[in-house]
Parts: sequence; C-alpha cells; structure tokens
Amino acid sequence: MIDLRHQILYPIVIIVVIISHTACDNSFDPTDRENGTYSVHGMLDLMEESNYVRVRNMNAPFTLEATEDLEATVTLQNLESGEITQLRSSVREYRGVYLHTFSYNEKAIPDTGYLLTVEGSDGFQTQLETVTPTHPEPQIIREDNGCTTPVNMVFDPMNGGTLTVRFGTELDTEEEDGMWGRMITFDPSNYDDKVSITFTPLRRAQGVMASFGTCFTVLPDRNLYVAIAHYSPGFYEELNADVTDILETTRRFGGFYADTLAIPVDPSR
Amino acid sequence: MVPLIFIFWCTGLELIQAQDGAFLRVVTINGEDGTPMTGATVTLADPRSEDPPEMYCVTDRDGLCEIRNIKAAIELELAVSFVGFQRHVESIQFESGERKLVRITLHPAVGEMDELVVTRQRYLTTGEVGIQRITSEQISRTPSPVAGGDLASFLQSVPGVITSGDRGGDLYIRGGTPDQNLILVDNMPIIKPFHISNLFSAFPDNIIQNADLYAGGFEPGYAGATSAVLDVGLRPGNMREHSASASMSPYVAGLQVEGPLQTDRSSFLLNSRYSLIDQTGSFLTGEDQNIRFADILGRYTVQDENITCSVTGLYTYDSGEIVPLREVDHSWTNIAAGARCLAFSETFNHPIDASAGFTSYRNEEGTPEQRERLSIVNQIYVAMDFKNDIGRLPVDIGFGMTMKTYRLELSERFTRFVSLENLDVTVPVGYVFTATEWSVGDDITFYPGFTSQFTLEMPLTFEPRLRVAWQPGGSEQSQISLATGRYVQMHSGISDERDAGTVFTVYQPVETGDPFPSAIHGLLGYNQKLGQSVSFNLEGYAKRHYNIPVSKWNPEPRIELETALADGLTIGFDFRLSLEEPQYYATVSYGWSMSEYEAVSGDLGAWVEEPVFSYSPAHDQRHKLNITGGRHILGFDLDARWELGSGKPFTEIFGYDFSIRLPFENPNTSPGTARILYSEPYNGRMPWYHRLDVSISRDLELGESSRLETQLGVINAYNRRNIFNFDYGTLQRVDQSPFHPYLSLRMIL
Repeated sequence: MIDLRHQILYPIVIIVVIISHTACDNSFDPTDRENGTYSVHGMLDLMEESNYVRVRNMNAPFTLEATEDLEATVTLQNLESGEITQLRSSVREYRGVYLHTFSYNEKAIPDTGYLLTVEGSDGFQTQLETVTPTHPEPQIIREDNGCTTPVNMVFDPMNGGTLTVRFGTELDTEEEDGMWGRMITFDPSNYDDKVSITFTPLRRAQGVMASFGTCFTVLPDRNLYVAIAHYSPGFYEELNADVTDILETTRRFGGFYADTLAIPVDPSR
Repeated sequence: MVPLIFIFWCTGLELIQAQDGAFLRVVTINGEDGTPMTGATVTLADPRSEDPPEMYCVTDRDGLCEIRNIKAAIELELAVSFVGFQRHVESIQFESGERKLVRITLHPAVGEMDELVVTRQRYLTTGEVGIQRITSEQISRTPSPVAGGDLASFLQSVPGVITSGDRGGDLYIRGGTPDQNLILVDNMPIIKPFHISNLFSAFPDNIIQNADLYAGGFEPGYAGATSAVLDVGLRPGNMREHSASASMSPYVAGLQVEGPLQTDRSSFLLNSRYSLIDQTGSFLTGEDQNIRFADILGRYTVQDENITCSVTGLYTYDSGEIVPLREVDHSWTNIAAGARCLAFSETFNHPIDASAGFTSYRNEEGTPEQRERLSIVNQIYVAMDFKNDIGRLPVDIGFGMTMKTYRLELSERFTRFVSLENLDVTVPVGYVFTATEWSVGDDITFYPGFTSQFTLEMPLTFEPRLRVAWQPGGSEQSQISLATGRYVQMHSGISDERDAGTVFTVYQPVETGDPFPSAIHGLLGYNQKLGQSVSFNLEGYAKRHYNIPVSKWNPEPRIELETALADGLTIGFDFRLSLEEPQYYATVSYGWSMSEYEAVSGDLGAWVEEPVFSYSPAHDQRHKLNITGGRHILGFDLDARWELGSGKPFTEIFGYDFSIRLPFENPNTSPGTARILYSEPYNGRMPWYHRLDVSISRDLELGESSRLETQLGVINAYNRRNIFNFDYGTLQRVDQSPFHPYLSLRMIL
C-alpha cells in the first residue's frame, strides 16, 4: 500500500495542487475586446436641411461612465467634390446611457457619393460609403384625369436605387392613419434603367379600399395619393434583410428621401 | 401486430423449450427488511476442489441471478455472500436438465467488525465499459446538504458527466445533451427528474436500490436515446417492519413512511421532499435563492415465490429563477405512474419482465405575470422483455410501444415560428430488440444485438450494437472491454444553449421526411483490480452524432426555435482510481473530452466566412477532476469531495448597441432600442472552477428502534466565486453557490 501511495496518490496530489493554482483566476470579461468597433446608424435624407448619425463605441456597456466620452471624430466626405466636413457632436442621456449623435448641417446632394468616417482616438477607423438616390422628378403621363384613364408614372434615372411605392386614397392625419394599399418595391432586379408604373386610378383605389365602389366612393379626396420612398443602392435591402451578420446590423448608413404625390382625378370622367 | 407475434413466439418458446443442462435461479432476500438484495455474490462449487469456483453470478436489482449449464449428479456447494451479512452455504445437487429456483435470505452479521464474514465482490461483471453501477451507499457518502445523499450530487462526481453549473437540472453526458439521454425509473421514461438545484434529484439515497449510468455504448434493450442512459431502480418498501423517517436541512425537509401490508409479501413506500432553500438561503449565504422544488414518490410492491410486481407513482415540481434578477421564471413537472412485473418461475426458461404506464413532462418559462412558452411531452408506454435459448445461445428479445404526445404553446412574441406554434401531435413509436451472448473460449465474450424503432410514417431504424469483454488469461482481476453501436432517437429537444440562464426546452418529434438524430459510439475500457482494495479504470470513447437540431443563431440574445442540423464529434477518456477499505475510501477520477459540432454556416445563420462552421458547444468541458474520500473515525464519518473543472465555452458579447429603425426613426430624436449583440458563437471560455464540499456525520441510536442521523457540512467550503454564467439580459455576472453551511438531521423510527 505504501508503494501505491508513492507511485500514484502523491503524484496526483502534486498535479492537483498545480492545476488548482492555475485555476485560481476566475475573473471574467464577457466582451469580445478584439472586435472594438463603432456602430453607426444614420442616413442622408435629401428632403432635410440637417441629417444625423448616431455613433456608438460597441465595447462600451450601458453605463454613464462608459459612454460619457466617445473619443471619436466623425467626418463626412463628398466624394464628388472631395470636401470633408467634420460632423458636430451632441450628447444626450437616456436611461443611464449617453447617446452621441452627429449632425451634418448641409443638404445632401442627390446621386452623389459620400464617405462617412468614424475615427477613434486610437486610430481605429470605421468607414461607410453610400451614393445618395437620384431624386428624379416623377413624370406623370396620361391623356386626361379620368378615373379609368391609364396613368404612366416614370422615375428616371434610378442608378441602382430602390423605390417603394404605396397608393392611397386618404392622407394620414394627426389623429389617425390614412388609407393606404400594400407596398410595392422596385429594386434593380425588376427594372432596367428607370422605374415605369402604369395604373388606372379607379382600380388602384378599389384595391386600397378593398371595394368595388365607384370613383365617387373610393376616391373621396378626388386625389389618388402615391407615397414614394427612394433609397440609395443597396440601402433598402440592407435595412430589410433578415441579417445575422453583426456588422450589417450595426453599420447602417445610406441616402433616402420620401415624398407623397397627389394625382388629381375627376370622377365625373 | 409485430408485438403480438413476438408475444406468441416468445411465450410459446418459453414453455416448450427444452434444456439440456441444469440451471439454478437464485433470489436473494435481505433478512433485515425482506426486500431483494442487489450485488450479492452467488457461487456454486465442488466442495472437494480447492480451486476458486468457476460457476458464479451476482444478483441484480431484483435480487435475482442465474447459473446455467450445471453438471448433474454431483453434489455442489451453493454459497451466497454479501458484505456485512452472514454467508449462506448449502449443499445442492441437480438432475440432468433440472431447473431450480432457490430463495435465500441473508441475515445481518452480528458481533465485532473483525468477526464479520466480509466477502468482497470477487468477480468483475463482464462488458462494463461505459457503465457506472451506482449503489445507494455510494450516493449516501457523497457530501450533500441533505441527510443521506442524493443521486444528483453523486452523478456530478462521475467523469464525463457535466452540468451547466449548480442549477438548471440538466446533465450532459460524454458530449451528449440532456434531450439525448434516456432516463428510466423502474422502466418509466422520465424526461427530467433532476431538480432546479443541481444538488438534488427526485432520488435520495434511501429510495434507490441501484442505478446504472450508461455513458455510451449501451445495450440493445435501450431505445430512443443517442447519448446516454440512466436506469434507476427503486427499492421496495420494508416487507417486515413499519418505519418512518423525517429529515430536515436548510435545503429540504423530507418525510418517508414504509412498511409491510402483508409480511414478506407486500409493502408500501412513500417518500416526499420539499425545498426550504428559498426561505433559508438568504440567511445562510446572504443571497436570495429564489428556487423551489418538491417530489413525492409512492410505491407498492407485491412479491411471491416466483413473481414480483410493483406499482410506482412519482411527482416532481421545480420552479424559480435560474438567473436572479432576470425575472424569468422556469418551472417543470414530471408526473409518472407505472407498473412492472418480473416473473421468474423455474417453469420459465428465463425471467419475463413486463411494464406499462404513463409519464408526463411539462416545462414552461415566462415572467411572473405571464407564461410565455410551454412544452409538454406525454408518454403512454408498454414494454416486455423475454429471453430464450436458441441452440446454446441465450437470446434476449424485447419490444415496446410508446404513444408520445407533444404539445407546444408559444406566446405572441414567438408566433412567427409558424411551424412550431401550438404544436399538438401524437406519435406512436415502437421498438423491438434482440441481444445474445457468445463466449469464445474462457476469456472472450461477445454481446451482439440490434434494436429497431418504427413509427407509422417513418422508415424502420437499424441499430446494431456490440459489446465485447476480454479477461486476459481468464483473470478475474482485469478486463478489457469495448462497446460500439448505432443509436437513433425520434424526437429532439431545442434550447438556446448559448444562454445557461434558460432551461426551457422544446420537445418535438422528427418531422416526416427529416433525418433522424443518430449517433455512433465507440468505447474501449480497461479495468484492473490491484489487490483487494484498489481498482483502476481507464476508458476511451468517441461519439459521432448526426443531425443534431441546434437553435439557429442570431446576433441578439433570444431563443430562435428555427433549427439547423449539425453533426457532432466527441472524443475523450476517463480515468478512475478507487481505494476501498472498511474504514476509509478514496476515489480520484479525471476526464478529458473534446466536443465539436459542425454545420452549414448558412443554415446556422452564422456570420462566418467558412461554408461549414465548426464550433465547441456549450457543454464542451475539456477537463474535469474529482477527488472524493472519506474516513470512519471515532464514530464519525468524514466525507469530502473536491471538484475541478475547466471553463466551458460561452459566446462573448460583440458589443452594445442602440438599434434605430431607419428610416422611420430619426437618430436625433429617437434613442433607439438597446440591444446586446452576440459575437461569433462560443468564441470564449469561462474561467476554471473548483469547489470543496465536506461533511461530517454520525448516527445516534436513540433506542431499540429509533435512530438520529446527523450531518454537519458545508458546500463550497472555501467560498470560491465560481461563475455560473453572464446574464446578457441584466448584464450581470451570476455566480454559483457561495459558502453554504448546513446541518441536516434525519430521525428514523
């Protein structure tokens, strides 16, 4: 038995002591520090005078102390002119966390490339590039404003952007939502150079109202409304994809504008 | 139809089968309480020979064993022995082809320890690789904050058995996940009989006859699991005297009543426990312990000369927070009722085992105000097991049928998982198996067999299995054994393994046309006895799992019930050294394993560049060392257990973000939605953990028929801060139990 103790038990005790010593450190940091990066959520709205970009150090947990200083500069470069603008930071506190928002106080130019750069004090950079949508003037082509007269609406040029369209018969008010049909999406896979939509106001209005009523009943405002949203190439897809890629869900920057057109209709025709 | 054919075939053969050699069937009864005795050694020897007896067997949990091919017309000596009991010896003689059933009662030895006739279990049972035979004595001496002990505490000292921490009630066995385990309690399939505190199960030491843990390579008789089997045998109530016990500790209070309804013929056993930790935990540890559990077991046993039957009812309840502060309540219940009969008349060539019953498992999760998820599995089962001799080969044949009903309800926030919402489906699953035993010479024995499962809509499965035992040189001191086989299950359990803070599991059948989860096991073991008191065991194993449904990943911490199929490989080895002496014992065990899953990245939703993504799942614990020991000194029993484990994988936090729904929300006016994002799955490892539990106990005789068992102990004796998980919801580190002293008492009347 003594031999056995010397040969087996004592070495085991020594191994245990060594292992337990190495196992003393039980500190735990759940954050993947090697992925230090910034999250960016912002867009250039062609209809706005100022645009905003939210920037966050993703390694900073949700505490005031960790989020007080972003320690980053944010610039926006117009890739056509080469002009670089440093965006102005503003900080607000929300539920124990400081939020850093950067503003660009110039109107964005359609069909123009922009490069957004977030640079940390350590030199680490996050860059996002976009091309603003073309913002074409919609062309309405029709013989008259009759309720059943076909209308051809054309957006040209598109330059790879995505256009969403919804027809409606009543506008939103502060109190309640208007009457709108389903969203129709035109992305580069289903148009060539331009988006061309042909419709008859009556049929569209009937579709919105889910009714076979007449022009008088389905178009109470005597207008068929068309809500459009035009996105930078790839920006709409990025916002709506069921993505699992973290970088795609935390780096969202693109150009956009939204508008609503009113197409007058004469129900008596 | 298939079962009917089997019944006809098997019972017909049972009655008409002729047998050339004589055989002896022994039933060993404990003289103290009239119940079957497990592990008694039965030998049959020529009294004139000085050689060790070649004919022997060891009684099983029914107190039963058989010796076959006995030479006729020779006077032999039948001896039955068990540690602490008087040895029984009698002369016996057989005629050619004679079958004998002998009931032997062993009485406790009296007198000083030195005078006891201590007969060690001299023989290795065969083909033991991957199997851990667990006795109630082993359970009782594992430090546990309850008088006696608990199976759950003991299992955590077994190499290859991993838990998610000190709560949750999930067992990962040699790379398998909880839903890949089959847990049988007197043949009743129970899905999760482990309590929310991992120190407890529904099985305290004083209701267990024995338990067999098959960590892999299990026999054809077990169907429906791809990783491991835990087969728990409950003991019958005392057949001779009424007794009652009440126990109390800061963790649980318990009550047990048992006794004969008809002496030596029928008995009952009632056992119940209720947790107190939620009321005492904050006082003893300074931390709130918002967990509750309870269990009730009732058992009726009737035995006759050649048959024994039992009816068992079990109810378990668990509720509480796995992660404090998260305000997510988990709860699960098991309800089971089953009957089992074993007929072993000498008119049968082999015993016949039949069982039937109903079990129900329900687990749910939600806020204290509202249940959000619910998964229920109901099972109505029937199983029969026969043996027959075909030629000279004993052939074990069995079949069973289980009607499984799966129910699932998900609240509105999860109803986008159209395929799973409000699932309510019943699937009949049948199985047949056959196994035999074939010896080559005196040294090598093969145990081949196969299992086949079937449903109404799915193809038959073919699951060949083989165990081989080799005792080099015919020595009883050493054995090399291997086991291999294919294993299939027709259901799956889906949980978010990335989050140890949730134990909710969705159980569902494999959909028609989908591949079955399956596995191939390979195990090789070496067992050596060194002298009379030291044994050494070394096992290597590999498990290859196919078609494991894993929750699809997303960057945000929430369960995703859409699944992808992964394949997994686990390799490892276990080493165990045991020293057993009457006054002290020690066991050192070490297990190393490595588990790796791989799946198509696109299916997983993994944001990685490789088309096939390999990762270490959450239960991939590489190193686990256990040292247990105890000594009987000055009337006290001192027991200690030290456990050391390497850190398990976890998914690091990639970052903290406020998501803004562009273009509908403006970054200047809308704060967005706070969210924490997972990094690449399982890219980090938690720190090592270790814990020392010690206890000192003493039994005080208070009279002729009353005894007080006392135990003073402490869990986590040096107050190590062992991490349980990091809760992504509350952004808090959650630790396992701190220093937790206890005093437990059990009064037995």
